[in-house]
Amino acid sequence: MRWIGKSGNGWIAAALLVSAHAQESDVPLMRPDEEKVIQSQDQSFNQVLETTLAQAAKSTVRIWGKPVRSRKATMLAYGLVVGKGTQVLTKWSEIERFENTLHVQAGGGESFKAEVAGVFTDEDLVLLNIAIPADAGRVIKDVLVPAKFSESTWNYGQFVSAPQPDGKLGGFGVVSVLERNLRETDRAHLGIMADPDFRGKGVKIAVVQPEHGAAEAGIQSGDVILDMDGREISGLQELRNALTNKQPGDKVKLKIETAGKERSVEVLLTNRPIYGELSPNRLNQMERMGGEPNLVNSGFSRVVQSDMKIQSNQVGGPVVDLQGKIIGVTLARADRTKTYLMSGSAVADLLKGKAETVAEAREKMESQRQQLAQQRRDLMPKMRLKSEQGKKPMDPERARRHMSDVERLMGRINRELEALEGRNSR
Amino acid sequence: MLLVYGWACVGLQAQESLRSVGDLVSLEKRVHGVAQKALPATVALVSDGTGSSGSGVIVSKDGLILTAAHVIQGMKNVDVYFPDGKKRVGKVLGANFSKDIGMVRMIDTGPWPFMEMGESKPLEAGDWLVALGHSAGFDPARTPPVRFGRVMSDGPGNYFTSDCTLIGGDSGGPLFNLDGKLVGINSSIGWSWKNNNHAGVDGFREDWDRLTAGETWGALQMNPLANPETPVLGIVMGMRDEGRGVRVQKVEPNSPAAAAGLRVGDMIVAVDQEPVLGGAELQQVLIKKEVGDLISLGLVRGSEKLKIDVELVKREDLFKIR
Repeated sequence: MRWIGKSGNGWIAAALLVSAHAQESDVPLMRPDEEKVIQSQDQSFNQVLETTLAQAAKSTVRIWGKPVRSRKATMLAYGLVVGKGTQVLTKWSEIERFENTLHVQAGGGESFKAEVAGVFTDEDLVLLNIAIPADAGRVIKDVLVPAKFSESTWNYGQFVSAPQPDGKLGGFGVVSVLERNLRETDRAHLGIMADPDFRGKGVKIAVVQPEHGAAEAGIQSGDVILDMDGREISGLQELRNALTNKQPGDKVKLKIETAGKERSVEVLLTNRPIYGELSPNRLNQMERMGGEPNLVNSGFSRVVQSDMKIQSNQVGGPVVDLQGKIIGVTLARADRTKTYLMSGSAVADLLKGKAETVAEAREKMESQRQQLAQQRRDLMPKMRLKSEQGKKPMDPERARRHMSDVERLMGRINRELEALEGRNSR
Repeated sequence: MLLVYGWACVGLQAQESLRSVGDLVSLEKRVHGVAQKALPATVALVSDGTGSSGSGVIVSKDGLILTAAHVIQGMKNVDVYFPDGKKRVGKVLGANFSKDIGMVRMIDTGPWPFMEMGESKPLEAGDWLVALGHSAGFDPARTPPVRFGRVMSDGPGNYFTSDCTLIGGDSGGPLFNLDGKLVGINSSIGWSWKNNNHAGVDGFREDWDRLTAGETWGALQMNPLANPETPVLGIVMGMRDEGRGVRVQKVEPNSPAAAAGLRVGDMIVAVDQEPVLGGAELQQVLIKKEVGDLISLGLVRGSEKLKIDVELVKREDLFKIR
């Protein structure tokens, strides 16, 4: 059990009642009469909902791949049949390692070989070509039906479902947040890191990042930001809010205080660099409570957030509204509260653009990894030096959390290795 | 009259009303309506010192905010962020940690967008719910995420469990019924996504005067057996497992059990006509009751069978002089 109130640097965690998670039942104090009510509610709810899924299910497939040195194939993801019924859209990071062993399976169990046609790394999607046997012709038309996207208005609380290929319910949820851009590099960036221990008014600068706006404008560490474009900056949250309304390329006027003297400077906002998993929140154990998220679960440029409960290997298929129309695809299970979706119109725009080859995609991912490593080398030593100056011992809760983060990373690496070696076939 | 009343009851049960896609469409419409109305009143409460962030909901035009006790722990003032990014300051009032409920009042008098309070006692498994909260802290690029679910289990005490999924930052955020009435405040989570715990809104009514007066009391304790506000009879149970009931080993003086005439040596064999075979089972049944509930105990005393009614009290009140 965890208290969930505080996030970021200070949520309070208290392990109570049960320490071994595996032994905790779903809802420990549920009465038998309550279980009965919930079961029958699930049954009638799913039964009615499934009547809306039949058509979309014909455009839904399972993607299988064989780990190296393994005989058994693993179910990797769901996919959406597009184009003339000979292509499938699915999740790139989930199929990448199995690129040469891919099979696409339709609802009736029919299975076809598939290979990568093009990659869209920014949205973590991939287009597969289905190899259709010469004698299959007519049969295929009823088995792999290309999806037709319908326009949707995407309201708060709107019901969204993901079908399984056989027409059963894969996942259900409601729209939590309307469409937004999660891509860090599209956000406006000053090029400073704030001093988290500063208690005065404004934002005190701890580190100025070379080659970004603040540095070019002559701002130095120790300066305090008091105001942006006439908006008073009382603290870090206010600075973040003020920057949310700006675009990279905008110019902002900052009121800066240096050693008791105030001055005004103009700063050109740049694109935010990739920080990846620098934020401690990303590895928060709470994200995993209630199901494993996808490895790539952020950074998409056009997402609708939903609370759809879905397994991470059921992502990549269609999203259906109550009229049974396909209105988008599932992009990623991100944590216990959220599954990201992409609207049909966003998918259509993406497919109109140029896809990358597998080699290009891998090169791009590698260069992003290197950029990220460089960012960390640039920033981490300065941050560490700073905290050592203060000589504050790490508080035990933070240390414990850090340890669990490291364990989680190790677990993730081990799972990846096992999958590569073929020991982990499901 | 009776027939009509009974029929109306069936109609209200969520699980009975889902027969067609049309029923789902009207359910969806109501969820949307509640979410749309509740968004402007769902605020983030951010400590200006540490930057840690929880949620809250405004329940009056002049800016009274209900939240969880652990969100405002140790604060005098708190920054209140609205979904549109606007920031104001709130004064922290009282908190009861045993129920994990707390209050904040906006310093400016408003008028503020607000949601009406409903009732939490009538909630039962299967009742549909809409939850909001500033998950993972206030994010100016996003409105507080909307979540949909239903009551999974009622209790312990003033708490109840739903499958509206919550995460850090959601604490103190609101939970509504389909009429858009506030019925709960987000409190804690278990391992499963089906295990999300909320404090019932009725708890605020019980403690209203103390909370508005700025009093802070109680203990943050999710283990229901150790919670000072857990409903109890006022007996010590015999340890020996006799397989057919619970032996009364001691009756606390001044307890409801004593007032009702329970005696040492009595064997409790049923609660509200349902058989109880052992101590763990009795505890489980009692935990799901609320303070003030009148329960009927089935007893075996010697060769006699009898029934007595007992009103449950808070554990912490057992040892107070009345």
